[in-house]
Amino acid sequence: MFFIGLQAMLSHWRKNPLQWVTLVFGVAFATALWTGIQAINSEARASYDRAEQQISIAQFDQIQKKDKSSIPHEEFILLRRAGWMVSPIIRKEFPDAPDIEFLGVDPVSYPGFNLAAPEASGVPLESIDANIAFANTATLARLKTHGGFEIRELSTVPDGVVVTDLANVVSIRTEKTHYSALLVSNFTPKWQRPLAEVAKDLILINRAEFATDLGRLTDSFHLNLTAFGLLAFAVGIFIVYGAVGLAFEQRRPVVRTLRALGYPLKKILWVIATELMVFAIFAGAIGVLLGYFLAAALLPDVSSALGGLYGADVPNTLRIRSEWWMTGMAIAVLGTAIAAASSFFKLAKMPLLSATKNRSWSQFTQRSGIQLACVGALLWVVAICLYFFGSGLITGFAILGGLLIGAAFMLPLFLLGLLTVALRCSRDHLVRWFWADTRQQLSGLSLALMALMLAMATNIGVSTMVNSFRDTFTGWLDQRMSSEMYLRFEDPEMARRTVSYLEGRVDAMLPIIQAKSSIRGELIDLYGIVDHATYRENWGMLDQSETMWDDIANGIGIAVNEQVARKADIKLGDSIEANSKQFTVVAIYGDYGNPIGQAIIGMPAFTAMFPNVTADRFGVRLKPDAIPVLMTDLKTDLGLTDDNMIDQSSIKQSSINIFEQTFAVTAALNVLTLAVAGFAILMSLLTLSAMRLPQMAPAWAMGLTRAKLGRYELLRALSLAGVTCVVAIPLGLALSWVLLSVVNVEAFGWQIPMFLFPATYAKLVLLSLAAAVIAALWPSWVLSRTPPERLLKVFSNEK
Amino acid sequence: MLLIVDKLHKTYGTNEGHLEILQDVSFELAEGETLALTGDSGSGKSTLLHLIGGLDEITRGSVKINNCNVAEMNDVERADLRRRDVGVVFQQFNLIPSLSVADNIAFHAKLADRFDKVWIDHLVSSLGLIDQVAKFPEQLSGGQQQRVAIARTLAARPAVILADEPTGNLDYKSADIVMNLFLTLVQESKTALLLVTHSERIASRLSRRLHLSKGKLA
Repeated sequence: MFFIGLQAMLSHWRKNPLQWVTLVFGVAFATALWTGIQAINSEARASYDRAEQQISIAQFDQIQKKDKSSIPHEEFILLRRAGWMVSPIIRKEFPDAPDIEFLGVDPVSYPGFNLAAPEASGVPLESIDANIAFANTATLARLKTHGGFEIRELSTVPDGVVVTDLANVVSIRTEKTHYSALLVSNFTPKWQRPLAEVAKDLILINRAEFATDLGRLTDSFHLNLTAFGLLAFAVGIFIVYGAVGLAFEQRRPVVRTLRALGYPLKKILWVIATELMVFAIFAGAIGVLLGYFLAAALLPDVSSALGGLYGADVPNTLRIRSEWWMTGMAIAVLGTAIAAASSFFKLAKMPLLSATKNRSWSQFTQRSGIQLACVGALLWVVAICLYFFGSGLITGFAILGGLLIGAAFMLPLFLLGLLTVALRCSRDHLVRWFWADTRQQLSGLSLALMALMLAMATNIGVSTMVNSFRDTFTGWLDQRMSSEMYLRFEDPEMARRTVSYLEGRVDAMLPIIQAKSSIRGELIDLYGIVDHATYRENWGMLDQSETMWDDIANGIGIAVNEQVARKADIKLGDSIEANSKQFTVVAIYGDYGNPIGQAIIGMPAFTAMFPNVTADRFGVRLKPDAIPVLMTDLKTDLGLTDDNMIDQSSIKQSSINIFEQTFAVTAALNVLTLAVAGFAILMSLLTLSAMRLPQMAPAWAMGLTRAKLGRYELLRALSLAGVTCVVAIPLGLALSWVLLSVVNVEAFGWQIPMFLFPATYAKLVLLSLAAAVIAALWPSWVLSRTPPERLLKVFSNEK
Repeated sequence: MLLIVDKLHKTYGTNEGHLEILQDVSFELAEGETLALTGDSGSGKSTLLHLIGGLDEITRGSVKINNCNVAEMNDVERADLRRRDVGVVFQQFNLIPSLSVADNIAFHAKLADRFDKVWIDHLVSSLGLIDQVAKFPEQLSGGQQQRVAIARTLAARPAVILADEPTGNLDYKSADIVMNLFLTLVQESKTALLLVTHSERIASRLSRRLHLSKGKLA
């Protein structure tokens, strides 16, 4: 009996293939966008997990020399005796492979090894011996020679690294008593003698803190992507809701007939549920597949963005992972269930002898419109309350959700009101008919219009955010990178020679000198700057005292970046301590794209605190047209390479590129969301066109040609989409404001000023209208080609 | 006795209080017997049919079909009754628009597990539907659709057919043709028939007649 019922129910889709296509592709698109994002997220998270499991020194705190020179063996012994659980490492270039790091670790004290279970650490302890080293498959393939070592394959070794016993690395360079750094075990007791007492020139680099920052930032990035994935999914589910609602409405008489013929209601509900779930699984499979291709296309940009912005290492190839495959299928089934729930329960409660008359699906009356708008207004109230009383990134996204969904719920009533006003203001009978007919179509189109508004508002919001970000960032780069050329050195002697060589040949040499420090418990990069017009004339501050540059030059003032100011609650005029010296905060500056806290003091104060730290980078002021000649001279006379010299424009370009890649992902998602909204309009119009004949036939009979009726259909779609787009602009700007002022601050720690980009909005409106027109063209053409006999049938008395 | 209706009452709750549709209605119908139920609009004819067919809840009294009391049945049992023992022919045809004529005709028979191809072919041929079986209901005229509805009911070989003004939606000529065919086939299938009609002429062709007035049998 089940299959007889199923046959009857399925026959509906055979007769209405367009509805089936709408349902399946609605679910598929929604799933694709969601799964694509999840695939990217799970690939990135897997790479973070892999990194954690690797023999990576990045996961431990490190002790280094303040001047970054090597640590003598004697100091290592002193630290061990003082209770510091440290393990020495030496980092070198692998012989004949300068891009591959040769990492020497002490297998006995290396904190990554578990001596009780060495196999669990990935490296069999007994295999660490002279002439044995380990590398992963990719690194092995890159090695031209093995440098006299037996290199074994080990997947837990990071890319670009060859790991071996410390003794093997030392023997190459015969540096028996100096180490690159000392790794601090996570199990180091807290009662050991302070580092400064043991060795004054050593500094503890807190990697765990940096890792937390990185984790927070990458989490924000992924949460951002997830939020857009969810939004795109919501747009897709709007389509499914429409398709399922229509199908249920059209099948009410069939359900009644089935019940009259003795088919139990419970079985009918089972049949419908089974049918929908089978469709959901089928559509989900298509969606997951599409999502895979979407993720594969977007992953290179994501990995570049994560690598460039946060230093996170994400491969740009995608693997099929069971978790996002299964999640994709689950979300397809869940989405379909959510979209079908209300129609399903209405059907379950439908009395057997209910009227068989077809109602317009999702019939939009003034009453239901008011109810929906009230829910929308309530969501706005919740969003406003969250803004004033909530905190955290999730709250930021909740505000976004409330704002967008609330607006979508209020749209139909707004459009209804607008069309009523248009109708009242019109005198011409044809115009009045047009508005009245448009109002009648609102019920069938409102879901698609909501989807269009969400897509359009997202586009405007994200475009505003991206463009504001880009403008602020490039302006900031122009300020910060005001030197025409930059030099960097690994060898301090080379730096000294270059400085004396350039004396008199350039306008100024500005040393860039930096050391690790902390302010109010926050780890920062502390910079020392010379007092020069370059800074005074070019640097814009978010907040500053009038005498800031003098105070910095005199060693009493400090400027901090926005990130550390927000994290440590630092305000202008505050007195703060850095390396046991008191400073007054004289400025807070924007520092976009940097996850780490930063502060600037005068050069005299810096050198007093860090006498052994020397500048390894310099900004060079000179006439731009003199750069090529100077570069050639430096290569010829001093043997500098391209790696030592960077001109300002290439640094700016590479920094801008990183940001472009970051936003290429969201931009691509926005275009896809808009395309899905266009699909929703197309399907709604096509579905409506089949039900339009009784409404259009009287107008045709009264003298309107079919071609004219077709053109009116096009005009109707265009005008409704146009109004929706206009409404979407302020909504998009509000969205952008929340992104820049709430989400960004929570996620990255800096606030970007919001700029307006009318040309971009005009372009987006035109794009949306084009999507609406393209979607309306076919249904309008179909209507204009409707055979007269079909129109005449409307007037036929015989059923 | 195939059908025994005993002291049947039906009331509906309205804003103005209880509305009594049927009061103390009792009658019987034997196997193969045909009974016409006449009465003015609003007299309760359709409601009586719905109660007998288990389509609506009985307020008081009993309806027994093959000794099973419909009043005591739950929703599933009533569905079982409609599937196996009762066939309903509606004025509005109630065909499944997405199924072909052939599938519509076979549908109830398959549900009742009484699919008989020879009998269905005979019905199709007798009702003049041979050229229509591949079509969909929307492609048929009203008269043709009602013939399909009649064929669907007869194909399931129910014990009793409840027909609610089956030709009420058709013009005079079509109604006459369809009713002739219907009554002939009912007679042939030896099925009991309870037919609601306004037409004295049609009522006179059935073996017995009851008249319902303001919810009571006259």
